[in-house]
Amino acid sequence: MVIVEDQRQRQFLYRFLVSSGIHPSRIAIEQCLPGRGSAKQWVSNRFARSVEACRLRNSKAATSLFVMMDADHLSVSQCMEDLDAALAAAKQPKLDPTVDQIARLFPKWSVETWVIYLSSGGEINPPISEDRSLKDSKLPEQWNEIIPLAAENLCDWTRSKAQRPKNLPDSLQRGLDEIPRALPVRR
Amino acid sequence: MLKGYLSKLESGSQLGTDGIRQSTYNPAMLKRIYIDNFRCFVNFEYKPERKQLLLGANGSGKSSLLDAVRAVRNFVGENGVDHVAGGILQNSATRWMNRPTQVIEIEAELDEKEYVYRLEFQASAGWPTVREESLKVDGVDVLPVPAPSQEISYSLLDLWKDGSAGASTFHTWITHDMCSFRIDPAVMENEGRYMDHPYPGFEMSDVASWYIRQTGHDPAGVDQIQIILREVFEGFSSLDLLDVQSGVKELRFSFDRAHGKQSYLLTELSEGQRCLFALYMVLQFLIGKGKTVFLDEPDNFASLREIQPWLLQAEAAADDSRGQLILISHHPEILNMWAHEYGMRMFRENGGPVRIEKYKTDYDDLLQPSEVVARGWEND
Repeated sequence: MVIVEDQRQRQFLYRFLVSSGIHPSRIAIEQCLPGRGSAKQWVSNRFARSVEACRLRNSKAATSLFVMMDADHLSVSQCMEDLDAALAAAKQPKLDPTVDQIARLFPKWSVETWVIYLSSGGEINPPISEDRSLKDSKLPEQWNEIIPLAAENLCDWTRSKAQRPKNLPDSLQRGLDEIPRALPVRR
Repeated sequence: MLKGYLSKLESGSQLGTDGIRQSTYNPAMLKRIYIDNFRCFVNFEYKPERKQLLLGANGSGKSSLLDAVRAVRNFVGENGVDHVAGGILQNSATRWMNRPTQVIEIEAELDEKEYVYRLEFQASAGWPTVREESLKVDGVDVLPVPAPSQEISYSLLDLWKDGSAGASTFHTWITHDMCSFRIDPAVMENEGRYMDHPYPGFEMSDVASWYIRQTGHDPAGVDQIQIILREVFEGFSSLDLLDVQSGVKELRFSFDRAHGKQSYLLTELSEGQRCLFALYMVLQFLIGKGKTVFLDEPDNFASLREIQPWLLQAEAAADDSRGQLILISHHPEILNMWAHEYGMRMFRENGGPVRIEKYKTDYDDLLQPSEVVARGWEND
């Protein structure tokens, strides 16, 4: 299961999962309404319900959950805390990484920052900033062009012996640490 | 699991030196459709994007838009008013108008040139006659002009397709690279024979013939179809062609079942399975090859769970190939995923002419598009 805020996250995460070997027929995506400022709340609510559903279903079939939310001005830790709070509000136990196959991804400033960095293969100069939005730095067609490459590179960097650049944005590094929770590490 | 699944869909793109994915196909694109005095279309103009969802109530003109495009395509491709074009255009003048001239224009960008094709015909209770047919390439006429009194029922473009590079390019595009389908599993036939045309008919009754054709033209794509079907149909093992008589083969779908291997004819599959087979054929051989594809209610026979995977793959394939995918659908999954970004609402006010506008409602923050449409509030 995949929960995303918007179309670009959907395209990126879908490409990543398919590149990682997940067949499209096994991917189910939920996407937020393009509302004004309500996306984070929507993702948090859906996250809590989906965690409950995944835990229920895991006794029948392994079910992984990916959730993606742009961090924007928040830190990755704050985003994690928000989702923890949503779980607590739904009276769900905290995430247990030994049991729950759940990856929480919080690109900062947004997924566009990750896409630009990843599509460069990490070779971007000057270093990419996570402190400002890059959402409007390209035309829609240009995003469509680079998202597949970005997703393929993310896929490569999640492999067990992958050589990753040393200048990874912090939110991406933390995302790479999260992904194995929901996706078995590949060689 | 399948590694790098999408990359196996022949993507039609490659990485350029700047790391940007470059299309290996000429980015062809339908840019504009203009229709006047045809059914409920009066002075109607539509400029499609690369991905588009056409939505609207029954009777809002969605399928008629496809019919207009089909009529032109058949008129050009079949050298004149054949049974398809004739049937569509016959007695098709707008009822509340009293004008003799009907017009359909198709504009496309091909090889970075602007093509404007105009077909003007005489309204008739029978098959129509053509008053004017023209093709401009970057503003320059490329078809000969018939004598003013000459009444014609054939396509000058078809006759003249070898007369200039511009006419040839546009003829090839409109007859081979722009296609429309309203898949009807009930009319699909088990048997097929090699077909020349690169894609099947409107309802895909000849999908078996299309498959036979593709085994020769695109064996890698045919292999990919088998891989796809193994994921889509539980227990599917292979798709084979069996000789029935000279030049005629039938499709056999084999499944591994608890009681052994079972083989089924196309018509022995469920309607939903037939429809999915056709949809993945369209995805593999048309959307993934950069064609302009109209699909009228592709979800008609597919289950709720089956349509999202197809849609996600179709979107990715259209992006990779720089193709053009225009869907007509009421399906909640398609509405929710595409309406906000790619939705165009067709509507008629008080039974008047068809209008089209970007989908946007007052309820976009509150309700999913499927919920808005279910309530009929998109017309507010």
